[in-house]
Amino acid sequence: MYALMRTIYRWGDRALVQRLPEAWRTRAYAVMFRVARRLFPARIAARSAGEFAGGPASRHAVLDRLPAWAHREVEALVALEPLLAPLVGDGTPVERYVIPWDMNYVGHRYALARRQLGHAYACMVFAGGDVAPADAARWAGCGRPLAVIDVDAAPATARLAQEVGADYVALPAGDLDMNDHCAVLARLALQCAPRQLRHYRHPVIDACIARHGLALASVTDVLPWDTAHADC
Amino acid sequence: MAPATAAANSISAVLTFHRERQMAVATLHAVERMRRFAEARGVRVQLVMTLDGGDPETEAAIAGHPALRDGDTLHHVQLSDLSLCRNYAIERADGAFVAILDGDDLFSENWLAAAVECIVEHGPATIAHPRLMIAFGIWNAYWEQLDQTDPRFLPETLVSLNHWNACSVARREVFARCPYVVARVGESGFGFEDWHWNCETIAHGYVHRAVERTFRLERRKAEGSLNLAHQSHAAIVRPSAFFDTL
Repeated sequence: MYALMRTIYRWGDRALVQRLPEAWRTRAYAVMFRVARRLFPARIAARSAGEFAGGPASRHAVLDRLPAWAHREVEALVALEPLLAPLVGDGTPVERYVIPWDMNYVGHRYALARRQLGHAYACMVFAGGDVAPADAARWAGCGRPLAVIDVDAAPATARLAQEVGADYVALPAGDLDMNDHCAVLARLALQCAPRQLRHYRHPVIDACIARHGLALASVTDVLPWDTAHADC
Repeated sequence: MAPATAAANSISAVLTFHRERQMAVATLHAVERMRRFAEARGVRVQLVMTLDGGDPETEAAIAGHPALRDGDTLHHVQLSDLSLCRNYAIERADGAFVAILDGDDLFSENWLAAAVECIVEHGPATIAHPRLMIAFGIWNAYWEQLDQTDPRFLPETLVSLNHWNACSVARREVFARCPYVVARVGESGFGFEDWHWNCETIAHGYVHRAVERTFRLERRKAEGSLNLAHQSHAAIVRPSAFFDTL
């Protein structure tokens, strides 16, 4: 399937996309990149549409020389700092690092989720996995306003959130890797700054708390869902 | 406290030192080179330096440097934080503009003068950055910084990318309105104070621009890098009003 799609992409790129005006071409690459990341999240190494269109060579730094004006200026500074010599030495390659300026898929996912949430929550719940029906009563006992962020987008969790009148955001991994998933989750809690953050046990949620728990604890009370203090 | 009035074409170069030792010597020579270039174009440059903790070798390298002039100041502080050092120096700066410089970096000769020119041309809401960042030391590389007004700039990318390094020039009131926030990563879990400052300034309506044909030379070390410390602690950028506008 992946090989077939790659063949279709290459043919489409040559036959159609590369003949489009630049603005259209940029948009076409952005759409293709989003679709490719959705379909094959584990297979697409590119971090942006630009890298996707440019191929592996555009992802990593390429060997180059400083622009002529910068080269001359660095030469003048070598007398002050000998460590600069490799930047202007004869035949010494300097890496031209490419920043993926259009790497917006993480920010896009964050922004979509953030727009579904408000401010001043009494409680926010990081939910994942199977939410037990018995949790309904505990959720109902949580302070209001209440927000639930579900890293698995489970229908049962969405239903339960609706029943108790909580704001609900589905935040499945999709095309986010573990680092990005954790970062988006933490960013939502940091920006909303609920009085209390309750979290279920789940690989993504556990990783998020392990990485960003210290920062989260500075804006909210962070408590695992299964502590003795059952109610928010 | 900063004086109520400042010469319209004066710039305070804020330099933060810690334990740079002899690296501070090269930095101050590069700063003097920028100062002469700027003065030839009518821009007065004052150095406002902090030595945070520090050691005798670094202090000697700074205090005995031939580039220092009357009016330059060196403040000995015990703040253990880069952000607080910058704020401390900015409060004591008297230039109409402030430049943020690290104590072990070097710069193109035209950086300060071209940055002031850019702000005068585009207006007081402008924050200037060098166009090129050049790494040297254990890694020799360069990359470009993007202009916020460039159509390729996508605001949501700031969730996962920092577009501009701390090396910047802006009017002094920009820094007063948006001070740096403490970033002791091991204590708070927060980090990347320059990234946070970029977000906050955008939320306040300032515009980050990259100045053509200017660069900052960023020293890359095997250890002792604040950026690496932030990464190894899985630091995250503090909450910012900017992230509520996306």
